[in-house]
Order: sequence, then C-alpha cells, then structure tokens
Amino acid sequence: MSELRLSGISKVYPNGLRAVSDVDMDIADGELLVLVGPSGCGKSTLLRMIAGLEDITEGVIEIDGRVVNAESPRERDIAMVFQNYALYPHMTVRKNIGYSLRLGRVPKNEATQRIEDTAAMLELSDLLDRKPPALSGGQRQRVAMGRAIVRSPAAFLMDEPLSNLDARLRVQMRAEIIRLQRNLGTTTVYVTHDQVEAMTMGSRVAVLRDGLLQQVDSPQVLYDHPDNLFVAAFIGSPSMNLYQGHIESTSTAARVVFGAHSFPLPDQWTQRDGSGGDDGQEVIVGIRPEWLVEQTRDNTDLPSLRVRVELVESLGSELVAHTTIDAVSVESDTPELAEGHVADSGGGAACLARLSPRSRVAVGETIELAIDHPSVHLFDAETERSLRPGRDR
Amino acid sequence: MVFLAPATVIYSVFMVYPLLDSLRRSFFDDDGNFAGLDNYNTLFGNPTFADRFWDALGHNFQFFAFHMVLQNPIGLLLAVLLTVQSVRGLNIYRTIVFLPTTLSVVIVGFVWRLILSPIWGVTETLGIDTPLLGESRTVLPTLSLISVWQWVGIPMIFFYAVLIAIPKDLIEASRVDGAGSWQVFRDITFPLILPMLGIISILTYIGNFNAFDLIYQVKGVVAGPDFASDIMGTFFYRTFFGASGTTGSPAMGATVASVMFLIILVGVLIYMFGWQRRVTTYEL
Ligand SMILES: Nc1ncnc2c1ncn2[C@@H]1O[C@H](COP(=O)(O)OP(=O)(O)O)[C@@H](O)[C@H]1O
Ligand SMILES: [Mg+2]
Repeated sequence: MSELRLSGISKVYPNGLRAVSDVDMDIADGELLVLVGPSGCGKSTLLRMIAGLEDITEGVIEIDGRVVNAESPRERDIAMVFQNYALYPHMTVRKNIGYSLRLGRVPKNEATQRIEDTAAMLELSDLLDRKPPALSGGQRQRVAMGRAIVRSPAAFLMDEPLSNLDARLRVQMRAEIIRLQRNLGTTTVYVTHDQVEAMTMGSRVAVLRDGLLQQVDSPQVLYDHPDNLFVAAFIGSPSMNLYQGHIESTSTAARVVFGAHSFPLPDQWTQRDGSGGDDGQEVIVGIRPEWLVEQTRDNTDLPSLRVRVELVESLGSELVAHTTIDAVSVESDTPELAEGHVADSGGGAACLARLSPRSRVAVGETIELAIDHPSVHLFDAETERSLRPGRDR
Repeated sequence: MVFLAPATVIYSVFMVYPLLDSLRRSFFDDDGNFAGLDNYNTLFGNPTFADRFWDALGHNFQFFAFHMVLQNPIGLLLAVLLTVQSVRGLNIYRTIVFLPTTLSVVIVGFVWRLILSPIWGVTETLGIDTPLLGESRTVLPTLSLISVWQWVGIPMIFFYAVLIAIPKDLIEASRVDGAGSWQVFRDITFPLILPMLGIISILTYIGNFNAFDLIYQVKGVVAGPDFASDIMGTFFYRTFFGASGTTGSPAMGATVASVMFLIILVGVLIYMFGWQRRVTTYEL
C-alpha cells in the first residue's frame, strides 16, 4: 500500500512522438483512480511509465516519497493487469499466479497458501491446474487479476482489463474489481477508454487528451463542472449537444444566442463585476440531453427550443428523441474542433433530448422543448475553457 | 482429395518410387539376382566395409554434435540479439549472418581451403601451426565448424520468426512480475520456442546425415586424411561409384543408402513420438 506521485511527467518516443505531456497527478494510499481518454491519448504510455516498462522522458515518479525513475519494474513492486491478460500460455493457472512469488523466493509453503487464498478469492480454485488456453475469457481475466493480487504489491495498474469481455461480464467484473480493490485497500490506477466505466468505477477520474491531463475530479464534478469543452463532450452519455453561439448584451440584460434560438444569460454567469458577458463574444453552448424537457404548463418560465423530431428511441426508463434544431453544431470528438468545424448545415443541427417515457412525441412533429437554462454550459469559442465562474481552480 | 491427386502422383513418382526401388535393390546383387540379406551381411560382416561404415557413422554423429552444440545455440543467440530493439541496422546484421547460406558449397569450400591453407592462409598469423584441414585430429572439427559457419543463418531465421511472434505483453508481464532478462528467457521465451528447437534439431539431423558436398569439395571422396573426415555421404558415394582403384557396386550402394534412410527414419520417429507429443505448441 502506497502513495503514488507523478510530477511533470512527459514521454517522447524515439520517433519524436510526444505521447504524454507534463502530467501531474497524486494518487493517495488506497485510492482507485481511473484514467480515461479516447484511444491513442497516451493512457497506456503513462501507465507503462509508472510500471517501469517505459523510460520517463521528463519528470519524476515517486512511490511513498521514493523516486523510482531509475528503478526496474521488479524494484518498484507494482503489479499490472494487461488488456490481453498476457497469461503465460505454457504455465498452469497455479504457476501463472505464483510466478512472481517464485521469482521473489517466497518459501514454498507460504507461496502455496497465498496462491490458494487468491484463487479462492477469485473463484479459481477448481481451475488451478488448467492452462490458459483451456479457460474462458472471464476466467483468464480473473487469473490476470490473481497474478496481481497474490503479490500484495505497492500498487495495481490496470490497462483496460475488461475491454475484451462481453458487456454482461464486463459489468459483473467491474463490480468485482471495485469490491476487491476496496477490500484489499491497494492503491490502483485503472485505465479505460470507456467514460461510462470511468464514471462508475472511480472515486476520482482523470481525463487525458492527446497526452495532456484535462481535469482530475470526482465523476460528479466532471459531469457538473467540466473545465473545458473536451471534458464536457467526453463525459456523459449520450453526449452533450454543442452549438456555436454568441452573447448579446445590453446594459440591462444579456442573452445567449445560437442559431435561431436564444435564452437569457443565467445569473451565475454574470461576471463578478456585475456585467454580463462581453457583447458579441463567441461561445460554444453545451446542453446535456437531460436538460431538455417537453414544454408543459409547469415550465413555461423556461426558455424553449423549437425542434423537429427525426427519430425516437424508447429505452423503457426514458425516451431519447433525435431531433434537428436550427443552429450550427460543433463536432465534439474531432481535432478540427478548434477551427470551429461545422458538422451539418442546411438540414439543421442534431439535438438529442432525454424525455420522460410518458411523453408522446411523434416522428416528424415539430415540438417545443424547454431548456433548464441555468444548467447549460458555455465555453469560450477560442480557448474552449468553461466560462462558468464560481469554481476557482 | 482430387486436388491433392496431382501432387501425390508427382511425389510418388519422384520421391517414393526411387526410395522403394533403392530398398529393393539392396536385396539383389549387382547382376540382378535375389540375394536376401547378403549385402547387409557384407556391409556389417566384411571388415573392409564394416570398419569404414562404423567410422563414417561415428564421424557423422560428431558432425551432428557440432551442429547441435554450436550452430543451433549460436543461431538462437543471434536471433535473440536481433530482437533487441535498440540495436541499429538490425537488418544488415541479419543479412550478413544469412549470406553464407546462399553461397554455393563449392565456393565456401574453396574459400575456406584458401583461408586455412598453410601456404597462403591466415593460420600462421593466428599462431596455429597445424594444417587444420590436413590432420586427422583436426580435419573433422574444422569441417564441422565451416559447415556451422555456413548454415548458422538458418536456425537464426527460424528462431527469429518465432521470437518476434511472442507477444510483447508476455515479456512485459514477466518483467513486472519481477523477472530479470535471464529469467524472462528461461521461464518465458525458451519454453515458447521449444517446439521450434525440436524442428530445427530434426532438420539438422536430417541435413547432417545427408551431408556430402562440403566434405567432397574440400577433401574429395576419400575424405582424408586416412578417412578422418569420412561421413555417411562420402562412404555411400565411394561404395556406389567406387573410388581410387576400387570399383563401385550399385547393390552395396543401395544397401548403404537403405541404412542411411533407416538412421534418418529412427531420428524422425524419435522426434515425432519422443518429442513432438510431449512438447506443446502454444497459440500466442
Ligand atoms: N513504442 C512506441 N513508439 C512510438 N509511438 C508509440 C509507441 N507506443 C505508443 N505510441 C503512440 O503514442 C500514442 C499513445 O499511445 P498509447 O499510450 O498506447 O495510447 P492509449 O493507451 O491511450 O490508447 C499513440 O499515438 C501511439 O501511436
Ligand atoms: Mg492503451
């Protein structure tokens, strides 16, 4: 059990590619930190640097205050679970799990005991004498976990350990890992590209993009107060609706305008000096699908959007309406984002709304949706940083 | 099955028929009369044949031992070195090591004869005052080493192909488990290339017991001095075609060929039933 500290970590591969840039991160003793980001953003690279499998180009990694930059994986005492499990195909489950103990010269009796305890914990006791090729995907995954657990290491590193499992097994193993981690109290860095997994697993989630750390916070804070456009668009499912807009302010009031729509700039955004946003400031408007509701008698005070319903998905607990709206959307996942890439013009911009399952919207209808506008996010079109004041960081 | 037919026919005509015919001829004398086991009795009972046969067989095992102890481990070592990512110009090394395999044995033999020649060669400069190819004591080891030098690229390429197929994950997992370079090799890499080691060994065995050309090129059919470099191949050649005054005997030649076939067959059977059944190939 240990504390991990990463200071100014960068990785430049020999081919010149800068995979990780200046990452600072503290992982407390016993914490489960989830590292999330789209594929290719440098998650594995960062994890491998912590494990000692990759040289650290810049920065310092400390385990319990001890700088480990120059230490081999063996000296760091860190266990890693690989995406493809990386089980030794020629060794039985028992030998796979016990390999680190054998290398560590743990006395035979003790090793046997620890292997069996670990196997029992993971319900692998009946499989100890099988070899990996004779195991199912879920069983292999558990052996990979067992190999990490048996060592009682300073920390666990897990690189997308569940991504090769089917959906049902993944949800089950996710809960299992959370439970194990909590019981063992071992400091853990868990990597995933799946934001839903990140949100459900981590007490803290670190969002990585192109090697740069975007925000490290609890799932709720990431959801409610994303620091920038990327985090806002990446976190949440279905993801946030994003439109190009601007602020129109007069001496008495300020409005957010996007396409043919507008709503008053909510009070909490009026800047500290009391003025609204600058007149004409270019912004990106972010509206989560759950902030759109059907207009009823109770919410006529909310600003409304006129949308055309194109498709309705009924999920039982909710109803996702795919609609179009007269505005210009911002394509969130593409790197051209910064250049104000326009996704769709002409037919209007896509707009997703999560409605009550009882609503009676029909395809082809034009309806009014109310926006819970105080929740709405605004981002500077230039810097993509959140304009929401109040959370100083 | 229909599609296999042409291949089967061609294979039978050009491979199986000559083999069977050669076996058949070992039971007949040179005039075509059935002779039972007479030829075999001559081979093993008549000292002029038997002494040469047992000598050649012994030499052939020495020849094989040199390849097993040097060629294959060195090939493996080179292959392992080739997989070290940080070395520059790996392709060049690979090509250089592989180059001698592409040379004709005639050239290899000639070149080494020049290099080791007491008159023009380098041996004197190196402080070796024996003619390495000229003395009974040294001729077989020297020829073995030349052969090892020429063919070491083959096991290297075979091992290399298997080594690069081992997922990096496995190596990294073992390093995280606490293994150093040697332990990674001993516990992970080596067990995974064991099946290939078997294949290379049996190919070496077959190749060595069929070897002929290098010794013929360097020492001629009499495999001198004093038959010190005689192996099965040269022994067969002399028996069949005759050499230095003696006339050849096709029947005795066929007998030697049959025995050679048997020796190789035994090796292949040991490989198939003693090794292949015990060593599993893992899908990686
Ligand atoms: N050994 C390497 N040499 C050069 N570039 C690499 C190497 N490994 C990974 N990369 C690159 O670094 C970036 C980050 O990779 P990685 O850490 O594997 O991303 P992730 O795990 O988030 O998908 C990618 O662009 C990838 O192509
Ligand atoms: Mg990865």
